[in-house]
Amino acid sequence: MPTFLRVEHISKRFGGVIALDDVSLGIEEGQIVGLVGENGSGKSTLIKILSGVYTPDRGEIHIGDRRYKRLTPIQAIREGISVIYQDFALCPNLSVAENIAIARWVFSGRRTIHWRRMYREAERALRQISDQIPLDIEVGQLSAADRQIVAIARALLEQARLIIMDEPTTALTEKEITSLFRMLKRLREEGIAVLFVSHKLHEVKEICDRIVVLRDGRKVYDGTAAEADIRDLQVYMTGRVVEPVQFAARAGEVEGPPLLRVEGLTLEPYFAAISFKLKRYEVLGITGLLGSGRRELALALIGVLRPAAGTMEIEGRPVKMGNIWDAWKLGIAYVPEDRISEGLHLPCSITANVILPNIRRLAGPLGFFNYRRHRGIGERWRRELSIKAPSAETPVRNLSGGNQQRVVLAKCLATEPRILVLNSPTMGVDVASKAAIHRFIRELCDRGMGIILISDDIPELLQTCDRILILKRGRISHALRGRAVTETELHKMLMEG
Amino acid sequence: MRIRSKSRETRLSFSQVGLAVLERRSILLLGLLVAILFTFGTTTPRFLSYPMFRVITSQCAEIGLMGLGMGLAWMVNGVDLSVNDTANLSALTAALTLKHVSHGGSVAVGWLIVSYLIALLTGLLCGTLNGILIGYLDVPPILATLGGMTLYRGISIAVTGGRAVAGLPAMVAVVGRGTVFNIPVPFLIFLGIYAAMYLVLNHTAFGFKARMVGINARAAYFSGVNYRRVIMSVYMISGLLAAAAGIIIMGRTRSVAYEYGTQVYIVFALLITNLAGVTAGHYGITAAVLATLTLQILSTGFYSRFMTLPGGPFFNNFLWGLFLVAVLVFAQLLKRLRGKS
Amino acid sequence: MPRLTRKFLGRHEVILFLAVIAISVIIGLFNRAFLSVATIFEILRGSIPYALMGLGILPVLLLGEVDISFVGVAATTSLVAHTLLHDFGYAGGIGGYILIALPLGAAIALAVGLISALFRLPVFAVSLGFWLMLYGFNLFFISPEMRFDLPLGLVGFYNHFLIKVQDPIVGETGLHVAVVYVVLAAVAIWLVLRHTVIGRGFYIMGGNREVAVRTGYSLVKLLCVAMAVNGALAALAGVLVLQCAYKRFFDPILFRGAELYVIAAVVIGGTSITGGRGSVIGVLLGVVFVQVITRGLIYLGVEPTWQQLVVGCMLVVFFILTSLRARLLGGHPGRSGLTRGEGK
Repeated sequence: MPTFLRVEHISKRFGGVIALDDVSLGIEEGQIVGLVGENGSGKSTLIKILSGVYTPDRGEIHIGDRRYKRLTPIQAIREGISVIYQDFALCPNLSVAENIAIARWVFSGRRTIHWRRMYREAERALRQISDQIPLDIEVGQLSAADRQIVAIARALLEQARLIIMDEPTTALTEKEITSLFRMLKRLREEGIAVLFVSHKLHEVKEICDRIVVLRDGRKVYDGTAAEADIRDLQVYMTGRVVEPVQFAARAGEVEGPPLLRVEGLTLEPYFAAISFKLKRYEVLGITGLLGSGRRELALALIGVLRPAAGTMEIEGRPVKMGNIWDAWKLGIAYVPEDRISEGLHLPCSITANVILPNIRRLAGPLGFFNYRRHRGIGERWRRELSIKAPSAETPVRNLSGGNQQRVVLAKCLATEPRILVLNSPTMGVDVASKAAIHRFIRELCDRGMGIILISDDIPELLQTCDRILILKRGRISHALRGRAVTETELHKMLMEG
Repeated sequence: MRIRSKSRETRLSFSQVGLAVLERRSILLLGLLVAILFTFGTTTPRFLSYPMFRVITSQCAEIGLMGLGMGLAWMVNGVDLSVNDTANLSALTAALTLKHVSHGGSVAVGWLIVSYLIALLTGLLCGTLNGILIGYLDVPPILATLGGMTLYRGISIAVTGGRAVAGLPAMVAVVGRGTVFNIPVPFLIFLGIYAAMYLVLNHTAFGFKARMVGINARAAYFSGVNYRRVIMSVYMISGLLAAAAGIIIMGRTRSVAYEYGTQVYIVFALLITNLAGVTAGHYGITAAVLATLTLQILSTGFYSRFMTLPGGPFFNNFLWGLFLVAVLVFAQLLKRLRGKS
Repeated sequence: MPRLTRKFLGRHEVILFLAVIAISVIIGLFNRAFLSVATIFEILRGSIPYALMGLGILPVLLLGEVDISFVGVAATTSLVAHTLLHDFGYAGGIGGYILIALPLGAAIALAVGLISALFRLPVFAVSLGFWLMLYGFNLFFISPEMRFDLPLGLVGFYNHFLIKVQDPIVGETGLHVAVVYVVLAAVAIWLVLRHTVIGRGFYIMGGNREVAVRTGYSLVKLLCVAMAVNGALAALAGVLVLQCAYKRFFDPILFRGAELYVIAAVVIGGTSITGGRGSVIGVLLGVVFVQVITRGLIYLGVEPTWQQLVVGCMLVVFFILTSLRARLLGGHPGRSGLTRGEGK
């Protein structure tokens, strides 16, 4: 196959930080290339250089027989490079057809809209990949997977020859992932190249022809997917061999009623008949693909969603949670999945963040409360969790992802919870912090807390959990002992129908 | 570039969690205040005199109380456009009560207090409706309070038939025109409410939660804060403050009219919040009070300059509109300048 | 077919149209005089200024901005046009007024748009300042009094009907000629919003600003266009319709307070003030809806002083209903807090 695009010796620096360092890479027509790497490895910088958002400091981009020192966004589109971002960049209030075709009408300099022609164009592009989605429905009513298809159809209409997909599977359910993969194979047959950017190694290995690994801005691996071994790729990504943490399970020794007992929890259409027990000194993992009800179950456990049926007992006593503040009062602390928008007040100090869930206890009679008198709390937790910050009065915005996540943990722990529910606690966190957070979870568990870890990170689950529940279409499909399975087995259980 | 932005954020966070006692903005406003006083003092005869002091301090309470309420709403990413009409409606309920119970222009102190309580209750109800619409029904604040404004003004018009209620007992004037130790009562009330608000915002759990809700309601929710209730409470307080303003207006003018202050007062309230530099999650209440004083001095100064002109008040309106646009633009320029340096 | 029927019936405009009919019939049950051709014409005549202004703010609201200065623009432009023409001894008809007022209105509103766009300020705050400024300007610089000195060409414009009817109660009335301007404006706005690339930009910008910018639209440009249209239509409402078809004098405080009615009508017509949603038909129906109710109250024997109260109630009830409907249709069942899904 002829090469569609080649980047040569690309480097890019931001201030003192080297984002990309002498990266060379070729993409052939009709090839699916997997681009993997940790956060901050330079993946997104590379995407932005290819789509013309950033100008590289050094290096060249070759497309066909043309050489570019830099691409402008318009040039990128003209050369057929199209990026599908994680949010798909669609207008929820417009029809499918308009979303697909409008950009082309704008770029081609037309002034008026010929609706029938627009629908025809959109239809031709959309029908290449999907027969199901109606053209006249509003995009806001579509599922995430359908929205992604619309975004791909838009790229096809713009005559894309290289489609860059940024973490395309994060918002998809297992079925949708399968159909996405089928679609990618169809694109491949038509000679369209795909750069598949992801951090999920199993998926990358499954769909890609070639895999490129970036670490700290450098290309550290480039080879065919068939030859790549997932363990090796992991080592390339992280730069070290990840030692599985050794821990001693103590939950078996606990007497008395379980810390948390869930019976027949049901909230159609998200999950049904969920029953499990959580003991002290135990980490329970809950996993499942997107749409399996994993997220909703987590929200129900902390009172954000009210289940339609089922009971919950804490230490033998039945509890009813009307809302999330009831969960905090009952000693259930929650680490949300989106640290930035749900977990933290970015412009505020560490102290202010840690105080917030505890405000009820800290406030005196009549609700009086003096921030300055409680500055010690932030300082204590900064030291306890070794958060790297000059002081506890540092705004959380200035911390790194890993340290921010520690602040979220501090918020929870300061309430002295009995149960800690963590939702994807290491998403977007660097390797060192990730390991530290895993160690810390075990430590908390050893102090007698019961921990529920909701995650789709397979190694993470295997490393930290005593038991793992797999959700599928809202029901528990497997209940496993943590160390009884291997990564590949767990991945297979997750993916199989 | 990075380091610079860091130090800026640090400053922001300090004021946001209420550590800074005298913020930069207050000092700026204090300077502005002195400059304006100096200008009018040298150009207008008898400006720096006790009668002028009395006029300024007794009038600043009305706009100040509405401004404080508007600032609160602004702090939780909202706006309260109904402050003026809440004030008028609240005053109206008090006035109608007084009319009902007074005999020949006099009324028992007990009834006076009852009527004030009724006014405050009305303000609270207006604020509650705004709060429910915004906090619990997720109606955008501009729209919700615009609707509230229409409704409250509508009630006032319907009840009075569009006429002013005058001839209130002389005792109502105590709140509007009385003095204690030569200090006007409205100003004392204003200072009292300022102190209470300062306490609530900076030294209570509610104030802390309200600021956190303003910064990120979603994160506050996941930390167990009932943000809907917080938002509703904010509008309720705003309604109460507006009612207090209404009582003072009633006392000063000894009448109530549905159209009193129409729009000008909303502009004043917006001016106060913008001059005081209120942003989501950050509300320097001292700055708001200083902004109120600045505005009132300007207003009185303008008035004493232009009252001899025919149609002077109209010219004042023109100036205030211009002033609001100028302040908005200036604040934005200031922000940009700070972002660059 | 069933899907199409459901889609048709589920449309806000259809519901609103049915509501207008239903309310008319109910009012008609209490007072038969309400159900007459004359009433329809009177309602249409009363709707003219509101319809023009409502059409004007539609593009602004589509962008997710709120403007209230348009009423001030209408007042100022009509008064300025009248003063100028009067001083020159103009005796002609409406043409001269339109020629002066329209560009002036567009220019003033454009200033509001430009200030907001260049300094990244919410249009609402700037427009509040202009609101006060424009009325102050009218009262102080031009005339604090109403002007009854109509030019010869305008005398009698009040009774310029396309179709004339005799009514036992209203007397001689009919379909006023100014309706033509509304129809022209509505068709023009509809064509632009529906069939031009720039018109679609308003919807895209309102739906997702980032996408709009990436597609090549500019917020500054769109906002300026929207505000210019807004100002021009408000000016049209000011000179043409209100002066001649409704009142018979020029008023320095023309439309003061009417911004609430216009925004209420447009919002009830299904326009979202957070942007991206709204239609010409919806605006027209919303205006007629408000007119039917306020006018119907008179037929029911309610004092006109209750009008604003009724409009306020209508707005609040409308907010509650739409909010509850949105909650029933979307979101998790059993959701109890801030769990708005992937949505926007």
